[in-house]
Amino acid sequence: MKDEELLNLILQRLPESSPQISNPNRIRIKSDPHRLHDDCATLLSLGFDHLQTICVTDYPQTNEFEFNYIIGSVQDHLKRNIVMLVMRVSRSKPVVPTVIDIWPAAKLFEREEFEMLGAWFDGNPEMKFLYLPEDWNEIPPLLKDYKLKRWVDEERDRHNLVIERVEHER
Amino acid sequence: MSGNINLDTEGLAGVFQEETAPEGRLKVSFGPQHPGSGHMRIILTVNGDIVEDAVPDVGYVHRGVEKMCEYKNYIQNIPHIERPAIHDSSGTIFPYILAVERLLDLTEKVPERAQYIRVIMAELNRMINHFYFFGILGIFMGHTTPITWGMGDRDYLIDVAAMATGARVTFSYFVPGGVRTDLPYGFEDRLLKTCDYIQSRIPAYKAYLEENPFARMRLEGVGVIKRRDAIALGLAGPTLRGSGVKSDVRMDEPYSLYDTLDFEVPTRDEGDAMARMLVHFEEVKQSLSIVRQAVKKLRPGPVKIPLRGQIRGKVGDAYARTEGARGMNSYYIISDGQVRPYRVRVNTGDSRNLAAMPLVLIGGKVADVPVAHWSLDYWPVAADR
Repeated sequence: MKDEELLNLILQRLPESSPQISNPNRIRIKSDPHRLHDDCATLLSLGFDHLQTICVTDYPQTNEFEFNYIIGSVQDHLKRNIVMLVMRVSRSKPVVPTVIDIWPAAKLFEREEFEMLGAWFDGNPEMKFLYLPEDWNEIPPLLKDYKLKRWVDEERDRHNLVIERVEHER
Repeated sequence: MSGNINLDTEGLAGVFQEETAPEGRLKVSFGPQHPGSGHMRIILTVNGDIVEDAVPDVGYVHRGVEKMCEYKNYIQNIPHIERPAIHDSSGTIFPYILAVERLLDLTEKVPERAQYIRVIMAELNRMINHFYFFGILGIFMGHTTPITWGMGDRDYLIDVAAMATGARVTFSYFVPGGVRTDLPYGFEDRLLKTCDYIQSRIPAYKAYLEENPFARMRLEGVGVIKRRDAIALGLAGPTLRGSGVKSDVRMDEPYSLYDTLDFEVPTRDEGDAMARMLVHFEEVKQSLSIVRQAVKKLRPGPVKIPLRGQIRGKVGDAYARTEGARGMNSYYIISDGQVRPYRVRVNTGDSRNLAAMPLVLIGGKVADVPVAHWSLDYWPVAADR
């Protein structure tokens, strides 16, 4: 489907989502946690049946998380279109409803974003670590507060490694 | 990593939770040794010979690619992104490059020769991956012939790829704006000769994997995924097409001049391990055809746009996807205008296909676990990222 046609269609069905074409074949719509479930159900009814990823991004400057649901389709007329459902949620309480009843594929994505960023998906029965070790007791690693450099320094101290800087003489 | 093991865990209290199996059942930890595909574990609850529950326990090879991406610039990210997928390094890096080109406004400017070279490398990698697939599938069926054939034939393809890129598995050959170097003298001849050789091997594989009654007994009816489930679970690649869904990014949203090439998207309706194997099989034939067409279309010319200095993406985001050998690979990159990406979300076909793991194992026999697991096109290293 052409971008403009899809834009009009989404505008009719989801008038509050202010859709816009961000890149060719990519339509970006806005949502919020209260509307999320209904918006996703509407997208599914439009034919967007293939959830491709959920991406959560940390914005410590504005104290927000950006949730990005990237949804495609395997139906012939929508195969080249991608809808990106974006919403900003406060970083101090990043709780959104789950969408696993709409797209079961969300189960793993939600678990991953939970462990990596600490976002909480209300209603997902398996909110536990997927990739991280069970004894991980630090902050979620994809937060901007988690600095790799500090981790490297601590590991070095823990193992008493001495990294000498070799100055080469000319 | 989650899940439980059925051992005496007194010394490990807090690390592993002990959980006993229900009455009359046995908990079996399948892995985390390298079961031919990378480290992962499946916790099976078995009733006699039947699997009643299967919980995949992944994360043993998670290396934090997404975090590392935020610490390196757009070019430095190329080698470490493709490390996890040693069978499909071109397919893994391809969408990253497309997304970065979108951020640099280079999408329309990439030279034609570079685009066809990318197609050739991506299809070579697809064949390299699929021959590995046949080999390990044979091992998991209990046969030793396919692994020797698969590894041997795969090596000829690797040799061709190494001729162009200088590396055998992780090529780091695609760069924003084109490919790293032009093809060496004599590459086309050798590539076409290798394609002829691979073509000549296809009847042998057909006889062994498709017509052989012993292979059919192990593959048919194993790990069935229905079309409806395949879509709902967000599966990708040959696993999705083996369940009758005609979905291929090369066709759906053509990139890199795939729309100028003539090829088909093979699908099967059965949804079992045999169907997925046959999809791989047909894809090798299609890849041979694509490579031959792309070689004919190669014209002399530049292979990359020279980028000077430190490159910075424009402020915004880009989502690119390509059809990798094991399914759709996609990258979502957010740029804040700096030399490093602000956030990179990596999704490989493997990580999507993990969602179907319990579905294909539950209800099957213990002896079918390896076959069902491997036919799913799930490679733990690429899935864990």
